[in-house]
Amino acid sequence: MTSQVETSSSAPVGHGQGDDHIHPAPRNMLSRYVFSSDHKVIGVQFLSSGLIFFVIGGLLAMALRWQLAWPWKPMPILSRMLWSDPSLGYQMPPEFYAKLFTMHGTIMIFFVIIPILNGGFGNFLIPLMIGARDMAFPRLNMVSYWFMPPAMVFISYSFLVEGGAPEAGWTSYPPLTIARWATPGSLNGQTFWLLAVLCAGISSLLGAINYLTTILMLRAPGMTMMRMPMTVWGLFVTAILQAFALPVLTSALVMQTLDRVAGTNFFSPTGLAVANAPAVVGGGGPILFQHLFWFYSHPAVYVMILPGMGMVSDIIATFSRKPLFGYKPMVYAIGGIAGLGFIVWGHHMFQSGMNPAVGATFMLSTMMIALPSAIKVFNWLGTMWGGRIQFTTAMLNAVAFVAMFVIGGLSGIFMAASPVDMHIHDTYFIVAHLHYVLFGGSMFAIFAAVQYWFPKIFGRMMNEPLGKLHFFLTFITFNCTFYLMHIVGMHGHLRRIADPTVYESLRNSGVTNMNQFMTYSAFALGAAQILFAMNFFWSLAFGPRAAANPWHANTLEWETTSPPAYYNFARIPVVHHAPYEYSVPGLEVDFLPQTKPLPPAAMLHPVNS
Amino acid sequence: MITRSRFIVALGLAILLVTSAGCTDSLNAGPLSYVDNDALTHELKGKANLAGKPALQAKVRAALARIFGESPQRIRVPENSGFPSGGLSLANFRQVGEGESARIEPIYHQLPDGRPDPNHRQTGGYGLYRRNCLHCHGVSGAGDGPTAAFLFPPPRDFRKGIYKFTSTPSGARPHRDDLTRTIRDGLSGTSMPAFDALMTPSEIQQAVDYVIFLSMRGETELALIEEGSISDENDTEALGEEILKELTAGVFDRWKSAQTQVMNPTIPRTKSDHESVIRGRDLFLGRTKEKLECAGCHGALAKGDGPSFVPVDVFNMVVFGGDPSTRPERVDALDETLKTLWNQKPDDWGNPLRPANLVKGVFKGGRRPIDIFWRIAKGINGAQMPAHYPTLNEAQIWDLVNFVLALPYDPDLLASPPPMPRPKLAEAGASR
Amino acid sequence: MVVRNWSFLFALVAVLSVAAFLYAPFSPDWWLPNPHSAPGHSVSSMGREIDLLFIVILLITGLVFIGTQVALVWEAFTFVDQLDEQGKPKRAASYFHGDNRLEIVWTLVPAVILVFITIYQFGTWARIKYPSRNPKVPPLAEITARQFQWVMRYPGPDGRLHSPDDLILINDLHFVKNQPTLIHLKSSDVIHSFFLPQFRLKQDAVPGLTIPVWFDSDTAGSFELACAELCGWGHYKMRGNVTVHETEAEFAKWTSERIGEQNRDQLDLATDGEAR
Repeated sequence: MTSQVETSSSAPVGHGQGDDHIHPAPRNMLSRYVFSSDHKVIGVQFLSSGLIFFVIGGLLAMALRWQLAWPWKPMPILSRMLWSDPSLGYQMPPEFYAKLFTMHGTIMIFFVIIPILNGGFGNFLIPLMIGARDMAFPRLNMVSYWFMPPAMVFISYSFLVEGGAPEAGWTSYPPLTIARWATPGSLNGQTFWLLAVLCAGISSLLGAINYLTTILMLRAPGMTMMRMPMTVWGLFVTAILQAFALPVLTSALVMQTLDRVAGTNFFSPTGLAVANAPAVVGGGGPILFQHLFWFYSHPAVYVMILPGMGMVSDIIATFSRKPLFGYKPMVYAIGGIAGLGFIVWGHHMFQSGMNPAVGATFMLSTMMIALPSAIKVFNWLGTMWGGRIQFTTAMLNAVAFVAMFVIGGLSGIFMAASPVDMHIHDTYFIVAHLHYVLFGGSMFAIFAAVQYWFPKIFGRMMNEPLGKLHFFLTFITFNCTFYLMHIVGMHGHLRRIADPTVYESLRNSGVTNMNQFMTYSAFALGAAQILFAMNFFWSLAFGPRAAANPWHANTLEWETTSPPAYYNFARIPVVHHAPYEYSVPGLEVDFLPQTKPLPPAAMLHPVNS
Repeated sequence: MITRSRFIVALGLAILLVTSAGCTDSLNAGPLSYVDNDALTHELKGKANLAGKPALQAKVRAALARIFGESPQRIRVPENSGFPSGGLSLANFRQVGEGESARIEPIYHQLPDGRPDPNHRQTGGYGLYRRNCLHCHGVSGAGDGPTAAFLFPPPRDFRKGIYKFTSTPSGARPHRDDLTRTIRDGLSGTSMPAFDALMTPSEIQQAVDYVIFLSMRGETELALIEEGSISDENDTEALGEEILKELTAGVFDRWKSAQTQVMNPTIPRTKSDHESVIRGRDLFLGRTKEKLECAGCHGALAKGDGPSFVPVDVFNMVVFGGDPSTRPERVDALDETLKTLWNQKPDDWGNPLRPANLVKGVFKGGRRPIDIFWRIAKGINGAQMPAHYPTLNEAQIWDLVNFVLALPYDPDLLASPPPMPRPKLAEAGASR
Repeated sequence: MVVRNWSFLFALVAVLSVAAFLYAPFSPDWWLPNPHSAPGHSVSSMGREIDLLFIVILLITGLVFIGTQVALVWEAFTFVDQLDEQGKPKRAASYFHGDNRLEIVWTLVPAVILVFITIYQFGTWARIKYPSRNPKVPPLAEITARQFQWVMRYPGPDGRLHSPDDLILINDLHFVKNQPTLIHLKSSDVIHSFFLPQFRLKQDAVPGLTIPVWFDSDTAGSFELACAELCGWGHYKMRGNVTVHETEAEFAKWTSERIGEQNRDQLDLATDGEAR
């Protein structure tokens, strides 16, 4: 069913959808694989740098967990090599703990999840799924990736400057960040953090513009918006969020940078003097930064989950061999999440000193955003209902996504209720919540997506038994690591404290045992990822060659070779129907690719739900 | 009392093996070793040092190990050091039994039912220090922990035995209660936090013990270096047993004698009425026959900007104007006059110094009248604040105290001379 | 068929998740932080309201959680693809795209529940945080957070803050049982957060703002004050003591002792170290 690959086409006849003009692949290895403007290569670049940073971010988390389970106990080998010295008995300096969680959060959000989901899969999948030869702006796409390496250099280099890496958490609230003497990491490291996140933000912004244009302009003939796979919908709405929210973050970061290096006072209150350093003139507002930051960073939460939701929808439909339940409600739900996502940022600031009446308003909008999420969960359950569920590794990870996202979503309701948030704000309850959404959600979606699209990306199948073992261990240890954080959190365990035993209510065997159990589980969770790396690299080299459509899926990317040729499609495909026509009665096979005209014997139900 | 002294004789050289007793305590895990004083191995301009004298260096190290233990985890309580209960609280041991049958055993935290929990040994001064103090004050008490470089004022280096905020005569060692207050209440306006809510009173006493222990060790080290610097490297007799004994006895005696020398005002505080405050102001401004020069450092408006020190903005530029490691370069960049002025006024530890801004009402050494009395009467050790007793009599000092305490609430005292009597001040007298 | 076993994995995790929250109320180390004497009882009136709201949300979300997990596990068990001897599926997947009535139901029902939860919270939120609803009492103290301690300034005998007789203490909050107590919260450097776990109270201290905060307690005893907002390298050690006095007289006695100590001008050598 794959169309024959034509070697090249002759006379250029102009650009536009449906024409068969094909650019030849660059012959120069450098411009083909490194400074490439090919969306597939760029996607792989985002994916691989994201996975490398996943390792770094994960190791930082291990060190964090060690300190929480056994406060001040020197970590074998590593503490000696990396962060301590004999005069400290190799114990962790308290500011180093702050560096660890700051960098863990920053790296996981800005260098792992957003780049992998949007940069990696977004780049790779969007043109293939809508039947385009490349992005609308291939060079811009290349520029978008090449903003990442400087970001990576800045963020890594911040460990080496005097005072070390930043210590203000991934949220970087001023005045802690703008008063340079407030904490060692604010002396120099914070500037590099700001530059790194600025670069990463520009990268995302350029990508978002590109995705929007590509999806709006370069869809194949017949690919109406309502025939797009959910993955593309997820990425499309994500791009809208990025395009409208990122400028605000960028301005906030620039303002903070100016406060630090140019003596402006956007965020410093009148006469602010920290740690005996000279007072500044001030006149700015510390809470202003929180508003600006969360105006981006709350939508960013959806930036991190919507593509995952889209990909999981595709995977669940494929492996349930059933049409997606409620395609249109799913699309509307994504739109609803995006729309509401812009008016809920204040729930991060219920206790910030913001007018409590505003808080009450944000409570209502925040509660309402649970609604589209709930609709999506019900629709996934509806998709599986009556299907023929094939538990491939990708499907297992996708189902885990649904199960874990339910926990992450429900725990969000506690935070949305502002009086309850008074107690659990800034405790481990919220750490549990965000890890259930970002690891239980986004990371399981990434695992599922890698397993599912690996054949398309690299032309080889991943190992299923190894993948299932990885899933089994990850799923168990993930829950062991993060579930009890709800409990210690509601018991009052604060986040971002290096030593819980300072507090009497946390100095009991219950909390200590839970902390140690979570740490052991976290180590196991970290170790389980070695299986993923093994599977990834082994399959890359020795995995069985993949057919064009190994999963018998319908969407367009499966209608070309694995891996796709430089020009993606020899002939721009023509789309005949919706993406999830599985198990159509009257057909011999249980799938109906979007490019295949409907055989006369069969009849499709309208996708009008 | 008899039991205790016999006990000290019996176990005077108790080697408290923290490591073996507290394996389960995570605070004791990992090796910890003292760091040499720079003067032991490095050429230091204008200071006694043992650079290039390896034999003497080895002797100093051996002597310190013999007197104070090889590492912080093997504490040896020196004989005659005067620690309460024989220094057992340094590692939180206690004496069990009396006289000949006396032995020491570790103290454990109690389980809810009252029994000792063998898995949770109380840490003692060493463990408390390691947990709460180490990252600023450093393992040897040199004020060189990893956080220290980023703090101003910098953390105290205990090794000179000099402490700023004391109740004992100028230059003397502090009383235990001075250290207790500092740890318990912190030092306002510095990075020294109050440990009142982090340690129990008995734990604070253990921490005080350990701080004194580190001071004694550091002072002994310095004394040995000084003695060694005038000795011959090849002289086998140098730094011998006798000298050692003499030096350590000197160190311990200084601490012991300080405990009986607390300066207690013989007359109570003068009522803080307007007249007293004005007398205090006139003393401050040097209008009396004593010709005090307070304003030279603290400034005519008492804002800590007197001409004897570099201007505030220059000070801020040097101390806060860049990375701590490049501070010497910023000092070098000053013009000659400023540089001279800068170099004239470091504290005894070589750190930059700033006179207090009295208008802010932040008193590092405590805000009680008696604290301020001590600051004025006997100065601030190691800093440029001199002792004013007996130059001033106690009544005059109380006038100054009243002035200093009234100033934050009435900055016009200095701004608009001569101030008219204000009813507010009269009713707000502190000696009720 | 072995693939069915995957449903048991999902079931296991769901069961353990529910079990953790079923066990929590029975362990004082797991449940919401409360005094040892009354492990199920928050000491403040707002704490008791918040606990109730917490439990209501816990029940609602717990039921939704159980419902969705049961559906998920049941689907994973029932609808798993099974092959016959020829390797052909035993059962074909059904073919449908959705159901509009169902969509409406599962949109409206959660919407109603969520609106209910929201409205149910409004009263408590307003009562706790709206300045107009603060108790009309003079402030007990002005609490200024700085790195890394809480400076508590009590008005002293004249009842006025920022007068020379103010009592200034570090990390030591005292007030009287069963009296609504108001403080003024400030910060002198970075953002801190005033957190009383046993009272379920949290409010950021923001430099440049003075924020009124009130609380009460129906239990005398000692509690903890924590800093909940990252404030630098020493954030974890920013702990304060909270003491609730049984009677006004006891509080007055404590105050006069502290003021006496603050005004100390001579040493009683025997007691100084212990005078605290």
